[in-house]
Amino acid sequence: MPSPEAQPARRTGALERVLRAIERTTRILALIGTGSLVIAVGLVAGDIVWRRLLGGAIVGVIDLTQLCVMAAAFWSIPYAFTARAHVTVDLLSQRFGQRARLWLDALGGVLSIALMAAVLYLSSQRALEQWRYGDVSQDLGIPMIWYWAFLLSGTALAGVAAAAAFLRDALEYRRTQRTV
Amino acid sequence: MSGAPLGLLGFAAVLVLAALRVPVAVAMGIVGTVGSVALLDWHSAAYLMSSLPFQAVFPYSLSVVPLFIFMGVFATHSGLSRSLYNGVHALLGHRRGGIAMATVGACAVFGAICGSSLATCATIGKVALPEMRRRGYSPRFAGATVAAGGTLGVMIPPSIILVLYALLTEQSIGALFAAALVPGLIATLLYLAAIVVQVRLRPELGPADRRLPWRERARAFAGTWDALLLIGVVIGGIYSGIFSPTEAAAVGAGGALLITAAKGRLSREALLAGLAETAQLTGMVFLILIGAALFNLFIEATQLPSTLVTWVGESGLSVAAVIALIIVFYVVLGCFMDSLSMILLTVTPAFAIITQLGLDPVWFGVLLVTVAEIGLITPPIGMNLFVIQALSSDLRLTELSIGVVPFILADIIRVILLAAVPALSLWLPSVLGI
Repeated sequence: MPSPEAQPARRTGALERVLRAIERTTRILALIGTGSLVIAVGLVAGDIVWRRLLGGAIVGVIDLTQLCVMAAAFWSIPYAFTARAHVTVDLLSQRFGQRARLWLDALGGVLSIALMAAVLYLSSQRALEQWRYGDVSQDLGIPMIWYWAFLLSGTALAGVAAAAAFLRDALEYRRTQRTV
Repeated sequence: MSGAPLGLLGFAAVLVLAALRVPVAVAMGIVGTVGSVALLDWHSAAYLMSSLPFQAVFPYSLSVVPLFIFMGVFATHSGLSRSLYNGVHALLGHRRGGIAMATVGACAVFGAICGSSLATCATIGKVALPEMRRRGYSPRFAGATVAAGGTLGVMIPPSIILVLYALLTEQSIGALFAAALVPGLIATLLYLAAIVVQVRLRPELGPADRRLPWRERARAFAGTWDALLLIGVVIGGIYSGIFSPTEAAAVGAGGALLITAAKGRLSREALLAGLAETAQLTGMVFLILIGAALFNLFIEATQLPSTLVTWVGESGLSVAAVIALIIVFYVVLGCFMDSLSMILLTVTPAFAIITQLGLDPVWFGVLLVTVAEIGLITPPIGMNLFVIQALSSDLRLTELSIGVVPFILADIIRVILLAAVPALSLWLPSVLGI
């Protein structure tokens, strides 16, 4: 049985593993999402060549490009939280201490989670509606729910990633406090 | 409280939240969502908001955004910046301040591939800053030159901000790209003039380098063929009407990837790093677009744009005075916010005023981006200054801020020129019939 002193360290270790798993998931999805842009590039380039040389067109290029862009955009948003790539203004916060900055990060984290939750809730209503009606894309008849799936999964993961980013900052803060 | 005052309160709330380090996109989204629910009834607000995040990404015309980001990132990874810099350096390096001029030239050409100021500044800065310092250039002068030159990335087409302005205001991307070319060249010339004046007044700022024989110059310039080809295909394709902007972006992205591979730089690590960097920028831009869509729903519900239009009409202000006020507003706001967020936050009311005054939206788009670009080198939130500081840690922000003053003066001259002579922007689109 672990000693009482070892329990917080074990909890921190478990949290660390969870955070790492979330960060890895956001990175993998982002790489798949932006990797799908290579497919879009190939399709559009192929369509241009086909059109110029043979006068035809690849059917469904627009549908597939849109699908790739939905994947790239919505699977990149969680990773941008993980990588702290979302635009912030550091003018005031630079004057605050580390503890105050952590509180500000908590505010940012809570509002980010709230926004993602609101977007997820509202969008899921419309997505379900389109699913029930069986809406499909214009040329290839791809079910519109596939496009919505990227939005819903990306938004849900973005909320989790925002929370993970804040917890990561809190862990770092605790670590520096211990060192001091 | 309702209507326009609530709209103004909404703007203030976004600025306060942004100042508290809440991501700007989240601040816009939260204020937009809460404001819309407060103004409209829950069911109407929920129904309207339910499709906005989807519509902020789904339209085919928006595909151009991640594709141009992809192109810029891989152009940066391909090492094109080094060959471009060497080529322009070989032509201008022997003049006093010549390496600084070469830096501005390389920024202008790289801006035609990249579309982002920060990337242009960081990429060219990595090559040019050590070179200038090795040749005895003043660190302040060298840093300021790269910071200012970097702003050309957003001005010279293709530019991500111009694309987003075009999509939000339903203008032609091709027309905006054509309209920005001459102002971009004017910006380059004015920056070169700023360098010439500075080194004439204080020759020790940028000593002349040795003159290269013509054969070496030709060889160095020939090394830029791949970059020039990429620019020619992308921009030439759009201007000539061969490609739509989305097609041009896809061809450019594919071209940048091929060049990176041809130069032997497309290792597995480089590919993953490039994709991860593309994801960071794409995620950042699209979350701002979603936030702006939610915020603009709220702003339209407050009827702030129409109130502002009525106020401008009744104020008796001349058109020139209104334009001057708008420019001053953006220059001040640009000191505190990044250009993308600033434009997406305010474009709806500003656009309403401009169209009401009968001014050309394409001309205004170019003017807006020019003014926003100044914010990149003005403290306290001059993003390019931060990039330079990160590249040369011994250079203090105050020193850099003093160093960029001559370039800001060049920018002010350009803004006055563009505002006074709309033909500088509108001539090329009319010649090309876009």
